Amino acid sequence: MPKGEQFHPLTALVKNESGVLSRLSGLFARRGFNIDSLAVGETKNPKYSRMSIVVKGDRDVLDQVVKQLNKQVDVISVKDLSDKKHVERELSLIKVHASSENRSEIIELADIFDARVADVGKEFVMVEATGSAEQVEALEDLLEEFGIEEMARTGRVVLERSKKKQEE
Amino acid sequence: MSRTQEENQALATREEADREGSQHQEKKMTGARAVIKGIEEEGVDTVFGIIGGAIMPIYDELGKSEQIRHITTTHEQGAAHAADAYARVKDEPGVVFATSGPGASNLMTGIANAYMDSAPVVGFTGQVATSLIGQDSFQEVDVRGMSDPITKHNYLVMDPEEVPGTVKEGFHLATSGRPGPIVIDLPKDVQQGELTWPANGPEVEEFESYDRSPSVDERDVVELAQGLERAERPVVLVGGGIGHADASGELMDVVEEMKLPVASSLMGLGSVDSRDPHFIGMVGMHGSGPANKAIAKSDFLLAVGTRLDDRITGDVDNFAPNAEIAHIDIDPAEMGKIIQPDYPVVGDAKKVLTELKEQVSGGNSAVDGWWKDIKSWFDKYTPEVSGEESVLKPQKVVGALDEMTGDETIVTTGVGQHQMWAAQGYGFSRPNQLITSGGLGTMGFGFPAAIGAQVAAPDRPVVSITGDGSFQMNIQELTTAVREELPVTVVILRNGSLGMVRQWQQLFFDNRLVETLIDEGTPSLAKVTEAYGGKGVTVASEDDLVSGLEEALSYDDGPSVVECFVAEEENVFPMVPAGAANEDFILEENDA
Repeated sequence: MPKGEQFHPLTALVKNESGVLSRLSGLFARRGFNIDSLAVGETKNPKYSRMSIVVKGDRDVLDQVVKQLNKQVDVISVKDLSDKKHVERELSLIKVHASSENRSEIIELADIFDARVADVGKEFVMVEATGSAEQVEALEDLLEEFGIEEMARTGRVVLERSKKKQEE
Repeated sequence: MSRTQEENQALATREEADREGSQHQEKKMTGARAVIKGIEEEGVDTVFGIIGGAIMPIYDELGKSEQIRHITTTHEQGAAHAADAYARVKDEPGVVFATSGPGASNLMTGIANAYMDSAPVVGFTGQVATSLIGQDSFQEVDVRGMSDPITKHNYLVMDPEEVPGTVKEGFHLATSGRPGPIVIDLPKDVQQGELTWPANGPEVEEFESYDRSPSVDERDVVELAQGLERAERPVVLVGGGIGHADASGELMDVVEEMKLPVASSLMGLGSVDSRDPHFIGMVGMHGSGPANKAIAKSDFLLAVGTRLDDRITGDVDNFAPNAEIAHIDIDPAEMGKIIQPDYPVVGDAKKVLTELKEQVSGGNSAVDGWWKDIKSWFDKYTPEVSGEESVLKPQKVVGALDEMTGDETIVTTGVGQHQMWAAQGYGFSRPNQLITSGGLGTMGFGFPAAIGAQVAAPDRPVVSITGDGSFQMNIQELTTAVREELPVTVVILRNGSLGMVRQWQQLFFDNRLVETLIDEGTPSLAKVTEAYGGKGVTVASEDDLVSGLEEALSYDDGPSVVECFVAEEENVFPMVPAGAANEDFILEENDA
């Protein structure tokens, strides 16, 4: 990444209505914001969704992303968690080539990363890993040696630590 | 955006009557009726648009309305531009109707134009029935998706019960904060479906982030005032925000107190009377030499209500390179979008400038010397309009118009050379006296905009300065102007070319004139006007100019068009080549 650029985790509370996701992802695209990942899900209050957005860029870019999001009528609030204590998780399903010889080795490896085995077949093992993006990527690197058939990642979900949110 | 007391009273009485009525019976009505009722309750009395299949229920109810006058245009783009200009002139929302599919897609250029220039347009579009949505049905287009990037907000209403609240919310959003267009898409069955009008009127939910309207932070203003007082070479740059905030008076209070030179963006023209001694001209690509020079040499730039777009700044790194930048805008996202200001102040220009006036006392004594510099640039950098008398110069047409019309005149333009000559040569003295397409640069805007302006201000003269290219892009609206007997005067600077692009080809593409000469095939636009039933006048030389303009300006029965055959090779100067620093402007042809 160029100097000054880094990943910034944002969390946004948005209306849970049709069209909101396309409106906001369209905003990112047309303003040329570089979005590393975007994850959405309903909150405790079904009127709202929480969006976890990881933005790549420098401070000025981040500043514009937050301001442009705030302008949207669908957006209730936006918070930059870069400098705030927060928890960050990503779930990844990784389907790895496996034979009877190396299956146990894969399972052991998964164990070290606190990952689960979600499915076992004759030729594949599906590993379910949860953790920070770095942890998930580290496991992915190691599993690459066995050959990864396919993989699905949720993108990061982020939440600020121990602060009760009144909106939810 | 304020209602008069009478309007408020009328509204209150109507609301009371409605409440009384609702005690006796539930207010059942169709979605279509609710749209019209909602619009009426907003105080709207004019709608521009074109009927079509999917919006017929709404038009059926519109036909029963005694409050609303509907103006049918010939093309939906014309309706949208008319509503845009109407909104700017009247400082009220402009409303436009269109049917689904092509009706809605034709509307989009006009909506985009309103978005770029922050005009409060509320568009209602018919949509195919909810059961047909998503099936590529006849005249179906995804209006919500399509209008996403060019609206402040938009809606696809899927339930008739949501109509009253959506209409109210739409008007609130269009007119509050930084104004902008709203589009409400209404499937036919939602228009026909039944709903109960809320007993206490529609409620609008609060927008927690949107409505957090910026209250002016006094500390920001104090810091700005201190910076401004320290400045030895200050310049004020105003944009369209002054007009939106109705802040010309407050601006001039500060300017006069501190003897500040004021430059303007295209959209800001008229915010300061062009004859005021503090005014130094338009800034940017075709700005005045003194304005561009002053900003380049300034040590403090106070930008108010402008988004500092690329036609203003040129090369951003060399825009006001030695200046501290103060930026006042109602939209927080404008802070740092183009330039990181040293003094950002988010807020309504009127409030901020009022506050600023309290904080400043007198000007810096060094400003007198600064004015001497600026005056020397006026002598040095004012381009001369030369050439033989036999050829009619476009600048002379604008000059004559300026002399023959007064401050109450509204001027609209299309886009291109004529737009810049109008901006440079006409003496604007009040905000929104110039109605132009600043952001989107929409050729064809001027004539339908003149129609909207004339409807908004029946007693003011409306003149559209346009080109042969721009006029022909919405020439079909002659029908509208004739039908509605609107006495707008169109002054065409006919040079047989798409002149601004031709100018670029001459200057930057080695004079290769590719597809910019359009005279072949262009008919007599005066005769075309006559065929439509308007007044057509031809001006071929300077001798005919004043009499020709007089003949058209005095024609009151409908539209008049003065077709001025002007010097075909004439170009707009000064000019800053794209990407260059503003200071490096070209003053005349030979400089290039």
